[in-house]
Amino acid sequence: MNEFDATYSLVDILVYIFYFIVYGYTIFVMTSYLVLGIISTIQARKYLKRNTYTDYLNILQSPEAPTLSILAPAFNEENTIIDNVRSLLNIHYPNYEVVVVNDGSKDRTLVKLIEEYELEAVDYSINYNLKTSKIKAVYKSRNDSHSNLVVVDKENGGKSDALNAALNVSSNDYTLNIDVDCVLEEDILLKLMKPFLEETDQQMIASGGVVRIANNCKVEKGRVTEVNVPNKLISQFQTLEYLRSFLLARVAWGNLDGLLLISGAIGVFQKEIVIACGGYDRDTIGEDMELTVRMRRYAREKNIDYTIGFVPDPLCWTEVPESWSVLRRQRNRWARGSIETLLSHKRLFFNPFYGKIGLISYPYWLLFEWLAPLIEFIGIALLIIFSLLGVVNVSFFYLMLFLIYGFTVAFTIATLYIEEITYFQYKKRRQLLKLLLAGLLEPIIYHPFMVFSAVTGNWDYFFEGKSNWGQMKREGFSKPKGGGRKITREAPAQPIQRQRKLRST
Amino acid sequence: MSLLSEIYYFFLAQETRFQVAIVLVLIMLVLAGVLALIVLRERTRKNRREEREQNIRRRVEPILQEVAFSEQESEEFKDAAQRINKLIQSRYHRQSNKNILNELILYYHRNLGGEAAKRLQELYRQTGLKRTQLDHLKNGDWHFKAKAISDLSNMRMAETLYEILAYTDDDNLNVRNEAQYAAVKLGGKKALNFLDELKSPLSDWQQIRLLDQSLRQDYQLIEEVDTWLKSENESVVKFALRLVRNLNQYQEIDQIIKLLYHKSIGVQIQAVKTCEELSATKSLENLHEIFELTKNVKLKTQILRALGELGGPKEAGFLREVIITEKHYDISFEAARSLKRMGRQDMLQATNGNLTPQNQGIVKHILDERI
Repeated sequence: MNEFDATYSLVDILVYIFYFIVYGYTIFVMTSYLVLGIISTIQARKYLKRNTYTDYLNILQSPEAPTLSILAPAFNEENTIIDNVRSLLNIHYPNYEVVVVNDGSKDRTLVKLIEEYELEAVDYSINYNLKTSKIKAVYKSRNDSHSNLVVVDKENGGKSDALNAALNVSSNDYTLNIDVDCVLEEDILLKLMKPFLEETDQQMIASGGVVRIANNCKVEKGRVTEVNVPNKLISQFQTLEYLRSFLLARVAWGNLDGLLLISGAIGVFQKEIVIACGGYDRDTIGEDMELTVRMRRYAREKNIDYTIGFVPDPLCWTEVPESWSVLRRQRNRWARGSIETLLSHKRLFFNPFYGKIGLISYPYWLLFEWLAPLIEFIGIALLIIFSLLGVVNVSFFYLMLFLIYGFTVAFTIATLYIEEITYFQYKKRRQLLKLLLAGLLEPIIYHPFMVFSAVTGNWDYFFEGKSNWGQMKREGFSKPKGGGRKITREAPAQPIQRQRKLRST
Repeated sequence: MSLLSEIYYFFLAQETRFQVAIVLVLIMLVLAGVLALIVLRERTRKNRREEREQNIRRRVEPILQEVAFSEQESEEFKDAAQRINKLIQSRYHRQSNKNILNELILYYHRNLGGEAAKRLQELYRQTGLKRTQLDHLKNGDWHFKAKAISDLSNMRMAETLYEILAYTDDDNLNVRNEAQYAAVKLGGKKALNFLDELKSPLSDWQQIRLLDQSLRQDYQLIEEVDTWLKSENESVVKFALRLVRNLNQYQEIDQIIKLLYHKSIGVQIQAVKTCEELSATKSLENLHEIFELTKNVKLKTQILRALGELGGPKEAGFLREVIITEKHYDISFEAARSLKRMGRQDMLQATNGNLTPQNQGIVKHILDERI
């Protein structure tokens, strides 16, 4: 076919529309990443400049500091629960409690906690603001040095259910909701509470922080003492991905007050709002995003002048999957979680009542987070078919692929540059080179895999009606060359007990 | 024809969209390469700075220790200052070296007290670092200004207080916050006078900082607090209440009781807390009245807490009544806790038969000594 015939056939028109959508979309995505990158760079530098003279000691010593509860759901964590709870009890903050919820573990998680922390069941009164599975007992320590520890033993109900139970039990105005297997920085509460205390014009309803990858890092006594780049390529790809996601995208969205997701691994919430809007949705697999969106909706609908903060400091370290099959299941689940949340809040879509969230964040998430892999997958599939049929110019397609590759690599290196001039976590030159090399390979190996996982997530959501979490095999924080703690554990993720009915779209 | 010209003519022969795409691809590849070089250059620069820092530290530290722990008079520091300035001389890195020195002296100063700290302060002046900070204060961007204010106050450069006070209501939040904090650090509670005219709001974070710094000063009565309690700036009122209860200025109680009826719930809560901390039994009637008037749960629970601290038999009866009649969990819980705080476990036990299951659970919780 000659694409430039004076008279256009129907096929020509379709091909041009196709070009327009695929290439236009690509340029649009790249531009948006660029804009977000620029905003977050400015913001991160501003934040760091402020941090050169910020002293957190004042709040640490102040009786006026707001009280806070750390909520940590645990399921089959017998190998690590003692260390993890100890690290939670050693966080730098003047007045906080730790609420650990044993969500029907089938191993010795509860027994270990009882033995180590000298726990005994008490007549604990619970304010059942949120519906949860049955709470069997609440434990407190006989040892005064653990007086701020509360352990809740309940029937299994999934992570959301456990967090709701913890919210019911917690006694403070703010809650830090975490994954118990994450390694937290000692000053996490000071840094996450700062946005709440600094805000004067609006009501701060939640605040998130940066999650970094702990694979191959040296972890001692529940603290990351040496930061290393993971050894496996698959984890290095994820390191780059997390850097882009947290260091660039979320910092920028935080600055624009358009965050739709406070990571389930780390987030401080105003309890009153969480409870008022119904707590965590027990029927969703993307509970963190769903809650953030629902809180925003609630605040707007109640005419609360609110905001959500984001702290660009690395505050939380998590282990990422080191096997492709586990990673695929995780991303499949994330994709289903996003779809679920976006569809259940479709009212936000281009709805001016919700301001920036309705007009920018939601459409952005829909177009670039949910639909991007689908458009990419369908686009490439069609291009291959069209080129086999001879209706498109294959050379131009290759050129576009090169362009996308070049952009992705440049963007990744720009992220590494920002990391270098801001938080500078990877201090050895070899580590930097490893990441640079991974950046060259990522668009060829990792990105297609991510697209595939997201597409299967969509398939599973719409055609299989899947709603469970799948299995997450954790390798444990591996021992780096310099030494360190070795934790090997297998933590099956929590199945949601009920079968979710396929949502009507 | 050379290869380059062949490529050039090949390029010209392409359609426009191809030309654009080719140019963009080239830009991206060049950009990626340049960025990679910049990253590596940045790493080299960082490593060199670290080496330089260690080098300066190794050479300057003995001089700092010599100055801090010697018996010399301040005039004799000139020699040490000259030696240090010579060490940080550099054609290309003068400012960077000065920053390293600045951080080093700050570090030593933070960890030393008494005469040793005073000697370091004198050295700070004589090495010209104070002058540099004042230049930043006058000419720099906001972060230079804020850092300069912070460093000057940390080094206890009291003579710069006048310059710093000029920034206590600055348009830039960061500069303003640092200036307010530094003013109290250098000038004591008297420097809080900037609150008289303050238009901008004081965040909770800033209030905690200012309070912390005020409490570190020697005790003295703050007479101006009466003006701040009447301020139109709500955050100033809240801060004044925090100040009053932490400094036990009971003489302000009449004004505090008036603030129990303030239009802002935040101020009301702080006023109740202050009545409680000051053991102001005089406010009991007003607390009862506010409890009946308000629907705000936080304010109600704060009042119940205060009643538990301040009250007598009448309040105990009132709290008992609340536990029996109240349906709101938080209010019932606070009433029970207050009754226990008054040492009236007997009343809690006696109420048990008249309570809803929820409130029975609360009473059991409160009576459990293990919690």
